[in-house]
Amino acid sequence: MVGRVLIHNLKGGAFIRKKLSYRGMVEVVVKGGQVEQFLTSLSVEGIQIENVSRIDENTVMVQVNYLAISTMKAKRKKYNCKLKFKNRYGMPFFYSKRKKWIPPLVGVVLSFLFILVLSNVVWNVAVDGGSPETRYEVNELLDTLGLKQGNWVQNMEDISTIEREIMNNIDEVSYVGISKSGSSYNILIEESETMEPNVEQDPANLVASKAGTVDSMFVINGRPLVEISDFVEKGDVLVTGELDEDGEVLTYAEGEVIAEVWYEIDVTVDLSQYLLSLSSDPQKRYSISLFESLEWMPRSSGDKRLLLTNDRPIYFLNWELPISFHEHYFYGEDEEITETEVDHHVQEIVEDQLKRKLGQSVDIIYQKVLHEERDSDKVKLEMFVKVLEDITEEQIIDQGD
Amino acid sequence: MKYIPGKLNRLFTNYGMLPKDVIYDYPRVTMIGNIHLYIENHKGLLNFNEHEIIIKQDQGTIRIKGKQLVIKNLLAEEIVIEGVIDSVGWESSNT
Repeated sequence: MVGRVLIHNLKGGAFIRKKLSYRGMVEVVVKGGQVEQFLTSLSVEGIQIENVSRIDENTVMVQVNYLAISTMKAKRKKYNCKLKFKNRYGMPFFYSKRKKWIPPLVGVVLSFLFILVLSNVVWNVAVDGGSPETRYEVNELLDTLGLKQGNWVQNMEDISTIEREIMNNIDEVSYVGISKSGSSYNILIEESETMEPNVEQDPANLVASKAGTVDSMFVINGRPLVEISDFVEKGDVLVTGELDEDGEVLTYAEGEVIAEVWYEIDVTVDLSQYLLSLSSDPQKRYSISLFESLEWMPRSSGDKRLLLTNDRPIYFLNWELPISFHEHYFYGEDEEITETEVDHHVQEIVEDQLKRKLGQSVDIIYQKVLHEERDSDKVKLEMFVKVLEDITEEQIIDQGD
Repeated sequence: MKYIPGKLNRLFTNYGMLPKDVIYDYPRVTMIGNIHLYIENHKGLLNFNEHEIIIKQDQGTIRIKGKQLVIKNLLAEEIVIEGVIDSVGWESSNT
């Protein structure tokens, strides 16, 4: 019983194999004569005979490769056999049955591929608006960003990135609008009118924003009221816009007054710092995703940190296909713990921190530590510093109208 | 004269240098349960129907009895039989 079931299964498998066989098998019914001898002689010739089964007393059904038929026909007379060809299986017959279908099918597939390829090419880039010079500049920038006729859409930056880049790099442009229609891009730019310097500025004084001792002055416009090494309080007029004593001829005061200013500042210095830095050369990896979720990346990146992903959708005509292409940038990380030796570098550290607090343009001329407090990993310093900085502040003269 | 190669053959096989089917040119019969039979080195098909298959070999015939016998594959040197095999018999033409 078990054997029977097994045979049945084997036959089922054979059936599938027969259908899918790439060799092309033919079922042949051999009738009469010396069938066994006929088959033996065929097998001696090197012909593979399969599934030999007896139908009745002098009829046998076999399966052979279709290439063996000519040999069978040549040999059959010697053994007095009659041949009848029945079913045919396998790829060669499948192919010959559908031969007529294949060229149009290939044509359709090719045309789809063609459209797919062409849908992903930048077809036309048109820049409108602005002066010819600006347009030329914008065109050059677009070329470097990949928005170029004949380029792949996937090689191009995002539209929003391109807009931002144009706005940042070309000063004359005050508005950029990129509209995509099919695979052509229209870029509309608008130029800002160049701001001419305001000649007619309101009359103004320069007053001190901090108390300090004047160190040096450089007055471009206006009448200075202080002299070098004068001490000024906050709010004192340094350079006035009133050219005469009566206040009738007014101008705007312009210039720099560098003064010595004192500060008492608390500075905290970390003795050790844990730094996590990213290496500068990223690893670029590509992946393909289907429906946003099934993502496949051929090469993994190890345990590096993913910092940037660019999505590159694939288009078919106007539509975005669910298949898209991604670029990932992975950065290696370097960890380090920096130990600072306060005693050696205190000058630099303090200067750095002061500049951060007071502004980059200050010039520190004197510093003294008033109080020092050491923690396990921090040093707190109370400092007295003298710096040179520009203390001017514009104050518009109220003309009473 | 015939005596010496026979003795040599036995010597070779007894000391395990070569398999017996190679030395004697015997067919090699492999069975999987009672559903699959594989014969190498046969000399042709003599008779065959659903219940009985007779295969020629060097020294005589091999007779396979069973039900629903089908020759799955027939090649110059090999034969594969499937079905429910009841017995495999050896008929030597010399004796």
